[in-house]
Amino acid sequence: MKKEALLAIDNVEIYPVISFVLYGLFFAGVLFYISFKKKSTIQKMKDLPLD
Amino acid sequence: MSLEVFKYDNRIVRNFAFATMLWAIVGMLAGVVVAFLMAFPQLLESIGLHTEFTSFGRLRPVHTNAIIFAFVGNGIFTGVYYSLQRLCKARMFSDKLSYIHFWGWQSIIVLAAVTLMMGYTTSKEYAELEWPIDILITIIWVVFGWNMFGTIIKRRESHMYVAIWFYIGTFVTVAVLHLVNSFELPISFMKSYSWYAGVQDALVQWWYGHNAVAFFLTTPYLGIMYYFIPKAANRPVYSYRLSIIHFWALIFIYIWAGPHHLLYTALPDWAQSLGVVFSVMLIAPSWGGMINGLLTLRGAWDKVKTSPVLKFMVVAVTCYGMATFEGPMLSLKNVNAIAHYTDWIVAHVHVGGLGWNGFLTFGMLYWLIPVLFRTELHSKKLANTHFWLGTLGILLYAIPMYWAGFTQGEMWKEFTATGQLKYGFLETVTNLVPFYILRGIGGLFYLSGAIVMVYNLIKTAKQGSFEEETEAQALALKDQEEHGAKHWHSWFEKRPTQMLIGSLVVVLIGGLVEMVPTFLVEENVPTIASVKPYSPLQLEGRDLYIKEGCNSCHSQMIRPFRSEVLRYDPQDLEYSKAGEFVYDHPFLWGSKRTGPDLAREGVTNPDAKWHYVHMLDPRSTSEGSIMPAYPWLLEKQLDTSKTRDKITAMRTLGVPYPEGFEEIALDSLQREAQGIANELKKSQINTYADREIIALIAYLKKLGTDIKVKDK
Repeated sequence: MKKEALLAIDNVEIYPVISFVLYGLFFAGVLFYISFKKKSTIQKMKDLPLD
Repeated sequence: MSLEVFKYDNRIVRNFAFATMLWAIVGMLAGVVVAFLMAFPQLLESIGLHTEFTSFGRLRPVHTNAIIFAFVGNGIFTGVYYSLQRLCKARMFSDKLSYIHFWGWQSIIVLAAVTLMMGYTTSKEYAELEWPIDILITIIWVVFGWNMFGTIIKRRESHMYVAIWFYIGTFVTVAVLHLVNSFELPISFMKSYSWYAGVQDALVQWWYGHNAVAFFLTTPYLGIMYYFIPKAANRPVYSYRLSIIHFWALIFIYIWAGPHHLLYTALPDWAQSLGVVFSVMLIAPSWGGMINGLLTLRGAWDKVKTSPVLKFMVVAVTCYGMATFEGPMLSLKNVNAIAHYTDWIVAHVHVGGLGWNGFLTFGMLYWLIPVLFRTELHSKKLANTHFWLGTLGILLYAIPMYWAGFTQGEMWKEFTATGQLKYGFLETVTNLVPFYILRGIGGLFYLSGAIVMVYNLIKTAKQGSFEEETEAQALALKDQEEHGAKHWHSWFEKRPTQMLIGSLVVVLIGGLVEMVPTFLVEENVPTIASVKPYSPLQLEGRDLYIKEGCNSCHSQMIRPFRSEVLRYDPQDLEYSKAGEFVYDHPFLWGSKRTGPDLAREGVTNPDAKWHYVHMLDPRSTSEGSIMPAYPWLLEKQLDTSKTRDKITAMRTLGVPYPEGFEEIALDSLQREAQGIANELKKSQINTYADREIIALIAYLKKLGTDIKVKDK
């Protein structure tokens, strides 16, 4: 049943590739974000367990 | 704008902490027993305790489940319930849900222990529990998630600290893993068949199995590490930036790595390669996390000398580093070729289990109990004694097991000058007994340490006074001003639901990419025309094989090596093919060869008498064997009340039994059983045709015979 449902989707094989690319972009975004994050915010988050 | 006053609930934390201690002792004791059974298989017989309920095949999953879900599970909840409230500056969402979660989880553990000993098992490692308990687990997991998300939503701290991300990732992934792998068709109360078959079942199972390690034994403990190490060392985590990368990289990469448990098997090559690549990539985030944990202690190493809490934590993080370096190495095909099915894997798992999970739990408990009971630790000296007993225990466990693994892996592959296998399988086993004894002693050391801890912490609790609730104050979230520019990731950090969905998407990608093609593409599982469904008697025998946990020690997967085909299929030198398993609900490839592979047992050893005598007393046919005896199989009548339903269920799952076959299934079963009883009679063994042993023999005689028909 699961097989038929998946086969019914046109070009189903493209979805994993799209997902993979999306994740790659997301991860690049994370790297970019943490590189430019303000020191004070990072420090605030670091200190949360010690509050 | 005013400060809100609220109280943290410490009772639920204390309850989970004490449950952790109780199940630690139970799980480790079961481990020590099964460890010594491998050295002295007649140990329980000698003290009159060898029954079907206490045989190795049933006790081994009791040990693994008790350690993973009872000891570590309760450890996770202890850490989560303590840290989540403080990180969210909010009491748990609902005391009632906390209560249901606690007692629900303990009930699952008790039910698991009882049912596993009674032989109710699906055979899938770390997912052995039958469908009614699976449903209960789902309900209790939802209760936990509901309570956790309720708390996060009503928090008074806008940022969610990274530990909370790990908790969210754990919740969502464990839910997905449990649901997908528990897809089974119930036959009756406490009996079901996996919805998947053969190769597909193996892929789903090890996608689950690997990620149970990742998302039950690792990610929640990383959350605990990121909270409790800074707390115990009284300094913030070394790099918060690194922890963000650690989280996303880990949850994304881990989910792909499952197929490294199936290298050189009948799993399609592309899936194996994908597993290897992602496993190797795992070193990066894992070591990033380990370095982050250890460097948190920079400038505080003097404290490590004097604080038992930090000592435990340092060893825990070091073991995490060792295990996560070794894991990727074991995923390399050339290393895996030697290590797989041997005690090397057992050593690897226990460096993680004893070192990472065990020691981090101990460190957390030594820090937490004095805090909850507002007192000092009863005895630092006893805690240090525990530390050394535990450390020696790990060494005494791991070193002999590595040695045993290398030894056996090499012995299996050694040839004589004339090209024959140098060692019989049994020789490679008897050679390991001294290592098994040492391992048992290591386990005893570790268990003794844990008992010392329980004593020490109970004394600590007794000398202090328990603080049921801790009062705290914080501004309501709406009253807190936001400063600085908004980044898209900050948006994530403040939105638990979106974080949950983000984590879910990330973990689903890996699962889907691996599974969808395996289910879709016919060529991935080529069928073999001569492979036929099991006869009703063989099917009943197969269920007994599952019930007795034979797959704990016997594989059914001949890898494509000369050393394996020569040993397990000397006539035709055939390795196992995907098409041989198309009717196997569930698959029974196994993951350890304490005994030999049985994939072609029906061809290499079809003698009914041999199997009959072997089950009664394994050492009478195989001198020095460490297999337990199964005398009850010779006595007990085979239960055929569900045979008809089993045939119908198998047809529902796609096994091509002819229409109406279930009506004549019992006749067929009795005819085949009588044939085996007659065969035994010719060998001077008089037995009834309706005994369980007959069905098991029928199954063993069938193994590997279908593929031979094709060759003729």
